[in-house]
Amino acid sequence: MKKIGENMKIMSKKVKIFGKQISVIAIALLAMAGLASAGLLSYYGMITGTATVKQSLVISSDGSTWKECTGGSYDACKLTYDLGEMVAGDTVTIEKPFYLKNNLPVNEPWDYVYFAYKYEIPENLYDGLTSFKVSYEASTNVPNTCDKVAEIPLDIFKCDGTTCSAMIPDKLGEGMIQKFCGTTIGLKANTIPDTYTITIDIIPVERIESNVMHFGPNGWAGWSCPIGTVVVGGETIRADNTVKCSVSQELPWKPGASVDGVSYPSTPFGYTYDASKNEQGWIVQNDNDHEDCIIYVYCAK
Amino acid sequence: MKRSLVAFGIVFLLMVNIASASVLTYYGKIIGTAEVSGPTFYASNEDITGTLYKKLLINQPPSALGEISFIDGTSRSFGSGSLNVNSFYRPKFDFHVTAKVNDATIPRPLIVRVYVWDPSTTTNIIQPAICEVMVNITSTSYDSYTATCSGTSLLSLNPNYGFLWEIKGGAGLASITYSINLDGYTRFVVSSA
Repeated sequence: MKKIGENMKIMSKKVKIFGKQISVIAIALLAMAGLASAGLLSYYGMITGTATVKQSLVISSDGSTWKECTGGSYDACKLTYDLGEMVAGDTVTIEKPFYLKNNLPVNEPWDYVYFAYKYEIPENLYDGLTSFKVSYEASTNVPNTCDKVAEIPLDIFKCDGTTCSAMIPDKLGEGMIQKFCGTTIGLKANTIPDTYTITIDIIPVERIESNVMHFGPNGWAGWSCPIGTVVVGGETIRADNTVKCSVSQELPWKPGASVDGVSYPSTPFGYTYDASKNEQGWIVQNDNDHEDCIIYVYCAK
Repeated sequence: MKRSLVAFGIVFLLMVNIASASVLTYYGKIIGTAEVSGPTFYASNEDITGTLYKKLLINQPPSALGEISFIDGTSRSFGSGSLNVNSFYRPKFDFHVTAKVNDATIPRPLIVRVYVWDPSTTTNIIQPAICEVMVNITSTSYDSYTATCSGTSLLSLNPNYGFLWEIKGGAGLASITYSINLDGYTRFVVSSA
């Protein structure tokens, strides 16, 4: 009895925590609640899943062994070629093919992976170029032929004193394989003899869709890339179908661009690009009619 | 309440940052290495119409083969077409000549020079020569000789201009006759000095 009485005495005691008087009973109750809650279920069950994300666009040197940047390792998706010898003053075709495959399953609606070829050439070699052409072919199987040739205009390259680079947008449909067959390079007689490294990065491109533009005759409109990305191309499609709009001119709008006496960051339609943020986009002039069009801008980091 | 919203915002931005940092920079990278060598100029037996010069072909071995002979103190020249460039790096010329003389009792010097010239006027040879070197011909039958000389500076050119290769007998003895075989070996290669 005496013992119980002593316990009761303890329970009626108070302790001081952070300057406040708190009863020992209250502390004991809180501790018990804590113990009880620790014993409750955290969850009724656990489902663990593992997903392997495959790269949408993969590359290969032979059209059969496909490489991707597994785990973000860029060494795993790198192809290296010895392009051999070129003589200044000559036009040389270098046949070192590589392949790109769109890994997406073929589903309706037909979809594309948008990307860009980013060419990087040492400035000394660029200064010696007279022409730069690439040949390619795309098919649902590994292409055997190389019938398509595209000339890369030399004036789209931008140089920084060491390297010159240009980005060419492209797209590849679901399940399609593109063969990059080779490059034809024309060299001036005064190209400085040296060993040069040329790189082509296959970079992801974002396709930005504009609102519907209600063009009047010869009217201008444009659409910007997200800030932090650069324009690599664009196209203007009719709003009611997939046919190209009949435009009189369309061009990337970025530092250095000018048209009809108007220079970046001003535009022919009155908007001023934010040059301080390197805002870039695609601007379009309609031909002499009324047309509703959507501008698609291709932007890359 | 406001504080917790700000905290949520910061966490969300951090998560977006982490997510965007893990997006691919590229799908693939192709790296190619190429060796660019300077042009080769071949002496051809084909005449340049209306001149005493013969053609100097860029990167193209001649189809018109043959031999030319000239007496000491005179020369033969080979002119290229327009180079279509505004400048040329300081050049080094590596000459290769198949030659002989009619008297090789002692070595007979052959003077080799390269000039800039304007092939559109054919008379406009820019003086002085870019460089000059002597080759001693030591045989009365055809043999291969090499020599090298370099320009002193970067060449500033009109796009119409080309190179003129002059080969001249320098023995100081009129009885000496030099012969050059225009066989595809007789050429010079340009590199950066």
